[in-house]
Amino acid sequence: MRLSHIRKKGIGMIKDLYELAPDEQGVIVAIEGGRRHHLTDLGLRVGKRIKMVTRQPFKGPVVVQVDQVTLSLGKGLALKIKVEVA
Amino acid sequence: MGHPNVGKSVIFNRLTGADVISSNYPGTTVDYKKGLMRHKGTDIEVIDVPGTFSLEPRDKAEGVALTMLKDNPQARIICVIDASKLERGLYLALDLIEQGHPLVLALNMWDIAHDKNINVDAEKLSSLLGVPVIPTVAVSAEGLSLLMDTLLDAGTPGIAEVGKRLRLAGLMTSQACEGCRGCLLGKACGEIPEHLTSDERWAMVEQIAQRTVTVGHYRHTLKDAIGDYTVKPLTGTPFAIAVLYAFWSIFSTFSGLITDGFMVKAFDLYWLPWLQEWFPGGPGTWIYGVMVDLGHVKDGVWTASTTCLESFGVLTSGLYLEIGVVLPAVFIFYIMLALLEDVGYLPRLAVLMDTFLHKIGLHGYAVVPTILSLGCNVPGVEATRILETKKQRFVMMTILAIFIPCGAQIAIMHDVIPRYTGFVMAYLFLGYFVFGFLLNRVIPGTTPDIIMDVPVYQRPIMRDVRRKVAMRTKSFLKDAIPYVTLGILIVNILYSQGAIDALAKASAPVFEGWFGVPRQTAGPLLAAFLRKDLAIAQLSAIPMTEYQLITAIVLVSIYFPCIGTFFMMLKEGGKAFFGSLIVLICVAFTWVGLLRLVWNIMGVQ
Amino acid sequence: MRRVWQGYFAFLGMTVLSCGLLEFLAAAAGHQLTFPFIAFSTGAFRGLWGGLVTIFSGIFLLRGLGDFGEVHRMAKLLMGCILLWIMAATDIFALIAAAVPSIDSGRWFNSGPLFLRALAPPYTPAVILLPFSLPVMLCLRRFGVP
Repeated sequence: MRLSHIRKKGIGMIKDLYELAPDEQGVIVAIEGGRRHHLTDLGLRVGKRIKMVTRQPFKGPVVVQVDQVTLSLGKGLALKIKVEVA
Repeated sequence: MGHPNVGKSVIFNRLTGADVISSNYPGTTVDYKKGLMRHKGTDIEVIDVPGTFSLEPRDKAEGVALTMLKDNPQARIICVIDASKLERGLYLALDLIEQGHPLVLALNMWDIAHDKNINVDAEKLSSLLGVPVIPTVAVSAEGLSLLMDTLLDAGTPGIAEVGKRLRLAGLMTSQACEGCRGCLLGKACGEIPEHLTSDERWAMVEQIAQRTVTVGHYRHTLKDAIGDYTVKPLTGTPFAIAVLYAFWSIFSTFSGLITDGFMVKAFDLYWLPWLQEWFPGGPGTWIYGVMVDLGHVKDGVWTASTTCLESFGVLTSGLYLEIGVVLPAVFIFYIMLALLEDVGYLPRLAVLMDTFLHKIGLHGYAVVPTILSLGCNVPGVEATRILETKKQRFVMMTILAIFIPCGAQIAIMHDVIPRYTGFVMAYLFLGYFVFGFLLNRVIPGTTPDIIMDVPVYQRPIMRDVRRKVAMRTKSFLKDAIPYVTLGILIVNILYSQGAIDALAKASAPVFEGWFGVPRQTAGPLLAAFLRKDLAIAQLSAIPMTEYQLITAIVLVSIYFPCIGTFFMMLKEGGKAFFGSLIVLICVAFTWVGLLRLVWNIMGVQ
Repeated sequence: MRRVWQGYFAFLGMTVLSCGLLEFLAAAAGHQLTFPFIAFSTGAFRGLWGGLVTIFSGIFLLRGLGDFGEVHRMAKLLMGCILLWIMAATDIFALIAAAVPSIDSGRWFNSGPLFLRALAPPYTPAVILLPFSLPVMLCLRRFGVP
């Protein structure tokens, strides 16, 4: 667990998307990095509710659900999306 | 225009009847296609544009779309949106409205939205945007004629208009406001804007979506559960193993049935003897030898061949190979590929494979060119376009051309060394990963992470499947027959001139010394430049041990792309292609040499 | 009623799993385990890879028990059946494909009786167990899963 990335803030904890457990949900609070527009194109924006579906082993991608749409994101990207778990 | 995979190509096909391939993974349409449709007596030109997420071009495909718009200011646009993903599509729609072209919104995949309990108020949406909005289900052609009728009457509202309408819908407070940005974003009134910033556009999108989209209770259905399980690693991997088993098993059985069950008989018992009898010239003449039967010398006497495989005639071996062996294999391959595509399984496979492919510097997307290459290397190399960075494209192109045998090769291998085909394929795949890994390390650059939609499972539309299979098979045949014919012709002529023998003698040290195969493999290797399946067939006619044959076949598969692939690589890779060649030569010597070493260690010849 | 279904699929799952194991191990050991009615291993490819898939099928079926009727369990049950159907379908296809053409070089197709004779047992376990997996459709309907 990367403790430096888990801080308490307000109601829920803030984690990297990558660290969500399967079926865990939350709201996106921040998206770092230069590929923001790629993510927003696909519907991942601050304020959106996001749910983790599954992770792939060996540092593989994650599969998430936003707005009833399922998509897959690489680990690097998933680390850059901060989610408030609720 | 619209996002990737919203059904643009399907609509295009339904409107024009033109053949375009539509799939649910990105990168299927990379060049725009033009077609003609008849509507109420007039011919209208329709253009299918590659999917774009916005009008800020970020890769080749999007750049193409933007150019299209600029070049055709009079064009009327059908903006296709996935009704179950309205917000995404609205962003592009607003962008297009800003551009000022006459526009109609096709709210496609209405059926899927319905299944997901998502409802979009099309009329409200239309009144807010100021453009007509038509719900469609492209795969069954619903709503399309209405779409076309409306398109011809479409107006050009502009973005200020949209703001105005939103205000009218109850958003804004000030009467004097004419729909400027300020109101939308909760600030003071400002000037009438021409263009919105990205964030502002998204804010507008959300406002519109709030008023038009209602989502019912999301029930997790059986289909969804299976959809999830097939993408989760623990359950998805066994499933993938099963799917791949089915793929290979059906492929084997079908090609075995058609080729061994019928084609061999047809060709060896009817076609060959008939030609041998009827063809002018008769045995011994040059033209007979080249076109029909080269025959062989046994005990000092020239004897005719008994099978099409060994006869080497253009009309005999050539036709037998392409129509008897390769065509059935390629046909069943394309059928299964189209079914897997349409059902929605491929993106899940890509996610499962992404982990491993990332280790060799590629994406899960790379599954697509790889699988395509198993049918024919030419579209496989073409498909490398969907990879984002130059490095990825280079690595993919190189290892595809070197290590992935095309359906034709596999079919002939199956025919010639049925017990070892599996081994050869495994060895090649191993090389694919090993060298992919090495190349990834050696070449500078990083691979971006994967971002991909995972679509809902749906029933494959037989009509589209048929169309895709027909298209792909036809283009395969167009490439195959001329080159095989040419190949056999050239090789036979060279044989009769003794050029092959000279070449064989000259390269003997390499072949016999390093690779451990008889020198006559030089001949087929030459033919391999034209068609690899032909080369493998010719190899089988040269006397050598089984192990030598295996080595030779691996060598043929690796050493040089067939002419079709050669040109495609030049086209896609440009100068990088020569880098590929160098890699190729290195690989040929090392990987095949390694094989020979393995034989030596095992103590076989 | 639930208990009955659970028991049924438990039994089916275990049978499928054991057959799969047999196929896999037989192929790995290089034996051809063929009896008059049932053929466990017909070669390396079918035995190893196919056996593996059959094993998976059994595992999925068994994992589908538990909170019977719940969507996720049903999904696993159905997937287990799908895997079995994949094996059965590919086996049947291979069987028919081998029976259709005539070995005799004079004819194209096998005559009727010869064709039927070629379709005779032994069959692979997947084919034999196929009919027993069909009740899953009933089961799905009964438990109201779309």
